[in-house]
Amino acid sequence: MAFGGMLGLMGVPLPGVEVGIALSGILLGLAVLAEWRPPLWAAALVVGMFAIFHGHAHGTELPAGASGMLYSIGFVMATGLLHAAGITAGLVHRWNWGRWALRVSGGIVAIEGTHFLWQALAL
Amino acid sequence: MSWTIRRMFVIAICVLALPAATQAHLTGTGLGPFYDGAMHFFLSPEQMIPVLALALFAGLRGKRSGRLALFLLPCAWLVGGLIGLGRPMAGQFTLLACFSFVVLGALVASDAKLPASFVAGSAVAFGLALGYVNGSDLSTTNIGTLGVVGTSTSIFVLVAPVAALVASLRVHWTRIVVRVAGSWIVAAGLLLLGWSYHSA
Repeated sequence: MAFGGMLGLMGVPLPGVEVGIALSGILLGLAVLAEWRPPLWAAALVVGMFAIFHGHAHGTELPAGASGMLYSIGFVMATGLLHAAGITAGLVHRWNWGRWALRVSGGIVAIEGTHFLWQALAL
Repeated sequence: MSWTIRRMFVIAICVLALPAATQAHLTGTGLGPFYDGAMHFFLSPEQMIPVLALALFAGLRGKRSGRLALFLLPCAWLVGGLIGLGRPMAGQFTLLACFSFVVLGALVASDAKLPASFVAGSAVAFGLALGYVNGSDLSTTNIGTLGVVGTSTSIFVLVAPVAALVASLRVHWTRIVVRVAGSWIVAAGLLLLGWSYHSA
């Protein structure tokens, strides 16, 4: 995320940012739905690759006149806390109802991702 | 009423009968610049975060490294700050902040198994460099030497509990939390680097 954000702030163009973000929703949502358990390196690679698109989008959206230092800290803290929230939510996987709730959530994310992809391609 | 209580009562009456001037405001105490320097540090993330990162790293490396950082960093900062006050350099030091965020954050995130001498060297090098920037900043104000002393004291106050807490961590996941904090510092440094190009 931060690397992508840095590229966005530097003005380095990244093609297909919106499509990449939409695809991340679809593929990661499907991964949750299917309870896909890839090797750690593969999971890190997939998440890291998609994170560059998300970070780039945020980097290009820096409001004019904003403090770079506070923006950077807020960006990182929000990202980290969101991950922590996701990991905490994943703890319900130990219960049967929790497993289903997570799978349904993954399905909803995938549907939303498809919606975003449709919008991105229509632009 | 016992003799001790009676004596304390008499002392209290005497103290109340001889009121001194109340020093409720810092301008009256002469300690204003000291606290200004202390607060300047706590309100400047570009200075506080590298110090926090160094404290985390020193704590991860154990008690000896923590103690070295605790005393060397504020001393080096004080020396650097006094040099900065005497020979200030104008300009932005964003790249130094980026460098310190990325390097120190990476050391924490990787839990690099480096000797205490490396921690000591890092404390001196970063203390001198960041202290110099701090001194240059303060030279534009009327805070002066007492302000740099206040900043150095703040560093001691910050490093002591952080390094001690981290050095005492034994449970594996708690050390992972510290390393995650290091990765956040690296991330903030990368974004700050991007921002410095953005605003250049």
